[in-house]
Amino acid sequence: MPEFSINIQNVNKRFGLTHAVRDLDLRVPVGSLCGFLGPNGAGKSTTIRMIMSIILPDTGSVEVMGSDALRNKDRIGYLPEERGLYRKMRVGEFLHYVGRLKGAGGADLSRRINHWLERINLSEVVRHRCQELSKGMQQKIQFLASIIHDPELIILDEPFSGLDPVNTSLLNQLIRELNEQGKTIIFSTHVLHQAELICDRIFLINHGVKLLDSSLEEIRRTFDPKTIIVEPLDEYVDLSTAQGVHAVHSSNGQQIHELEIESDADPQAVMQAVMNMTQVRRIELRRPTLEDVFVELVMKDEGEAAAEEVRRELSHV
Amino acid sequence: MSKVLAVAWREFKYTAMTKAFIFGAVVIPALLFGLVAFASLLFKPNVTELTGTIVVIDDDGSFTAAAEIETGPDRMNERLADLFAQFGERAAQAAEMATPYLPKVNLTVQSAEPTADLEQLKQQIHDGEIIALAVYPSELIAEDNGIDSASLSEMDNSEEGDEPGTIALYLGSDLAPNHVSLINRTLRTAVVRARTEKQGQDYQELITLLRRPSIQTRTITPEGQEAKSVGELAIFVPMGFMMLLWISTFTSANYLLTTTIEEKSNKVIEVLLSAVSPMQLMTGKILGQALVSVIMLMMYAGLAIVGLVTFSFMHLIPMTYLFYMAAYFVMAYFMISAMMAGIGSAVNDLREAQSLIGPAMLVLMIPLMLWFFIQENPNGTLATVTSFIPPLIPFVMILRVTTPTESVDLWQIIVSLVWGYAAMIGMVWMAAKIFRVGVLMYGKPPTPLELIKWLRYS
Repeated sequence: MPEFSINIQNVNKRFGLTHAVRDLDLRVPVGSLCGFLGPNGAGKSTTIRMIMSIILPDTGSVEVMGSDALRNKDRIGYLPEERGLYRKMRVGEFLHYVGRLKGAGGADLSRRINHWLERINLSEVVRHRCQELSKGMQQKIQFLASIIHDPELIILDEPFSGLDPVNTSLLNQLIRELNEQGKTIIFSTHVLHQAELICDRIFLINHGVKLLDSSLEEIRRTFDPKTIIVEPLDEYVDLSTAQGVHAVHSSNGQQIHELEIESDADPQAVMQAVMNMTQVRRIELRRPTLEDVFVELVMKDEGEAAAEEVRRELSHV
Repeated sequence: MSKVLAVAWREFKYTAMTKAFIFGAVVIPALLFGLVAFASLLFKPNVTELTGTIVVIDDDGSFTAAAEIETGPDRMNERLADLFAQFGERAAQAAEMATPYLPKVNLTVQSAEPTADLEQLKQQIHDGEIIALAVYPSELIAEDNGIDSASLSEMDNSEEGDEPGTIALYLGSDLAPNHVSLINRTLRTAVVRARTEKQGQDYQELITLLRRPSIQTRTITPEGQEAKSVGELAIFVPMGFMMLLWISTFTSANYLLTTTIEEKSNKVIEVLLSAVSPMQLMTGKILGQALVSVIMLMMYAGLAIVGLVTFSFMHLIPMTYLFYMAAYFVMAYFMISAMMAGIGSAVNDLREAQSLIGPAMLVLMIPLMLWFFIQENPNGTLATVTSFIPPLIPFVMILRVTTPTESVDLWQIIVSLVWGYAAMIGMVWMAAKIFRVGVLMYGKPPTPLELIKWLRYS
């Protein structure tokens, strides 16, 4: 039994002049729940398609479950970014069809279809034609189609796109449950906080280059917090003069300030300096978000302008 | 294999088990079946007997006598025999089949003096006492068959202003068109009979002398054997076979094109390809549509057979034709469906497909355009050359092998089958190559040159 469900080594992929993926190394441990993150156009879908052997890398090797995806199709569940349904097919029939193509069948498949439709609160649509469903319903059926054959490895490309908050939360819960059952799951998203909620491992990619490959715990340990939240009792105090503070962001009409500290400053020392200046109702060191980490990595790698661009892009999400 | 079968079954089910298909490909042919099967009932005209009296006005009664003979039952039978003589040894059968469609005649011919009261006779027609009144001018029987000036001026002054040398015929308004034409023919023939007899000739003898015999053709084959020649209807047999091949293969290949484009445009293709390989998907789709094609073939072939049996023409189709049909059908279907699957996978919508289908269709229209020439000369250069050009092979060959007048060399048939099936496998292989690349390609549709480039991808 291999240690990694997916093992990508030194993979490159070009489309004409575009270098979509550069020297990518990626390892997905068996049983992990991994977020594959990056802004639009970062190379996530290309990498996933190479994992699925839908396209082949120009150089490098892609190993999936000890060999390649083609030999393990029935053990892999895949929700592509470009996904669709047969519009005229009935929901139950569609799931049966996909299940059969994935090597499942018989009474067990029927039982699983009923079970999963119930789980996503769509039992009543089993006889509906796919074209009669709302977009959100179709998304959930597509998700079921990728897991209906009980795969060991589940690859989801942007599974949350187009889902409302209720269904996003439902999908989060289902993904976690599947992971708890021992399935290895990798999903791509450009919504970073989504991954932060459920993943135990994160891959960050930008312009086809891997920026980060680490467990969430490690990320939190490695990346120093750079923001202090302060609620002073004295509303007129100027916190920007405290030593080590780079900038202050204040919410309108509220007494809560976010202090951005200088990159080489010690957060504990800055907190102490703030408390020496004024009495506070509350002061806390904010955990770095994935967004912060991402921006920091891009800044380190590509400079301030690129980081600003990423920040702007992520704020649009 | 079970995955291929699952794809094939879905393809079949969602093409053939739909209301549109059942209506278009099953209900309509089934209705035609019924129509052909009951054609004899449906097309049987309401033949009414022509009964009544025709009054003939002529000078000396010679026309009346001739008309009496012409309307008699013996003459009617003789005319039928003449009509069906062209059917050769099947004349009797043809006459028997045609008899129900011919009007029965029970006419009485009465003679009237030229001085008879025309108005009164017309009134009798109006009252239904007689059905027709024919006025024969005496000039019709004149020896020089001409008209002298005296009678001409007399005619000019006549009340009706009829042309000289013309029979004036008065009829009731309720006579059926076929009855009118029968009366017309009979009265005109009576003139010829009266003239002949006036000349002292035996009309019946003349008729016999003038009767052109039928021809029973025997073709001498290149092997020096005699082949029985077939009737004119046989020229439609090759065309029928080719059309059957065309309709059944093109309809389902067209379905294959649209379902492939649909899978691409509604983005379900990537879901499918995560479960099956492009080759499995294409094979399944082609097999599923093959079943659709076979159903179409059965429906239309069945319809044709019912028609042939109904009209006793089954002898036109020897069993060997059916064997050829089966062999060339498989070849044609896989060739055309491979082309359509390749094209369908490479484009994003039907509109884009048109630009690639256009040239392909142009090639495949060749047998339709050259049908007549190939059939006229099934062993000519045109027919022989087109028999070995891959997508045309099955269509041209089925035209040639079902042409009854000339047989195709056996070596040509064997080569066409071996080479045709090899070409078919090649086309399926090329389609699979294009399919593999094309199904995941979005954006600008490829040019034919780019398609060729795809063939080289590993």
